[in-house]
Amino acid sequence: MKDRFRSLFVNRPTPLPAWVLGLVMTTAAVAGEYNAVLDIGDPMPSFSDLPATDGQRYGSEDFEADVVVLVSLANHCPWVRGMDAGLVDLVDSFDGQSVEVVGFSVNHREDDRLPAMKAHAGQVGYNFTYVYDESQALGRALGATRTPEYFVFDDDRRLSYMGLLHDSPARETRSGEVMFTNGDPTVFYAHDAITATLAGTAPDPAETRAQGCSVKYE
Amino acid sequence: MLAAPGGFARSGDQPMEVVGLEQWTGIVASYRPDVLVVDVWASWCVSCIERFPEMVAMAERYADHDVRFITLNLDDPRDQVGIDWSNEFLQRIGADFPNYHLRENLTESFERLDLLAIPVVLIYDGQGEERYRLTNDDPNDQFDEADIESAVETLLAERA
Repeated sequence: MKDRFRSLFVNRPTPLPAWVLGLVMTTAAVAGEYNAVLDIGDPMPSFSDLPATDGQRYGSEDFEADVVVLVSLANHCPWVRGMDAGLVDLVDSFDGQSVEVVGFSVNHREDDRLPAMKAHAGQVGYNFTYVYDESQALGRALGATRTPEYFVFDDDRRLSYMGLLHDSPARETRSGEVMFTNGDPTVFYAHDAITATLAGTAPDPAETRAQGCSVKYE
Repeated sequence: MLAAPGGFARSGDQPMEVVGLEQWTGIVASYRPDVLVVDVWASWCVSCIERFPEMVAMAERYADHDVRFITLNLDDPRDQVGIDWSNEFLQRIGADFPNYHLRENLTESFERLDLLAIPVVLIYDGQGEERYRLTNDDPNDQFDEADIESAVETLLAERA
């Protein structure tokens, strides 16, 4: 585990016995700078039979594009709502290219479950597959703890980028406006990472600090 | 006006005292109870708001101990609606302990405080050392109220 991330847990009590920790370390020996589970180069977790807002069920094998982008979402989250338009634009910008975007919702709160997902996807015009990870297995395997967070996988389904959409995370305020944290976005991390991955080159940066709502694991 | 340890932080008639990052370090250092619990939250953090009543109840349960509870709010300084909502919420819920609002850019705050997301609870011992950083940053190790209480009890036992 890298130093920066280890610092987040340096003072945590350890509720698990040492042999369990050893087992965990053998399965996730290296984590990302901002991710407790996944690191750049790790394989995309497989998933299957996840229900989607379009009424179909999807598994990881259903996505055959050169680049697959998994995005953690939550309808209730003001950061997701603030960046919905940016996500839709991102998908549009790769129209006709071998890129598939899959949004996934993890939380168990009613306003993040499938019926609410369907309503939200319709309202904001989601133009990508949006699945519900009710078992939370996909979210856990990705180490997805914030919404929205982008995970870009290459043709070999290895992680090439994870983190922010762009350099000015946006949030829907209580008055319904969209407020960008750092003014107009100037660096479009996810778009640049997808472009680089399509070209077979390593995104730079490969990881950014996603800013959003916490994902609640049950 | 900065709240003196033991006092109620106020700016005018609002519960939250507005502070900068440089002040914040000094504020934390100025509290030296047996245990200091810092709840980091914002009006946009739904899970922060949902768990806040338990924090208030916990502060009441430890009223007879040398345990202090304070909060740090990370609403965007430009979002006056959110800040007003937070002040009203604190009053409504009876958060009768020092509450601070950080008047900084959120991206910078997260970097400087080394946070990935909120809610986060920071717990300091009697020497002012951060001993517990309770986060939801690991899907397999997220905190709950029992973790806060366990940490407080551990530190209290050390002082006994």
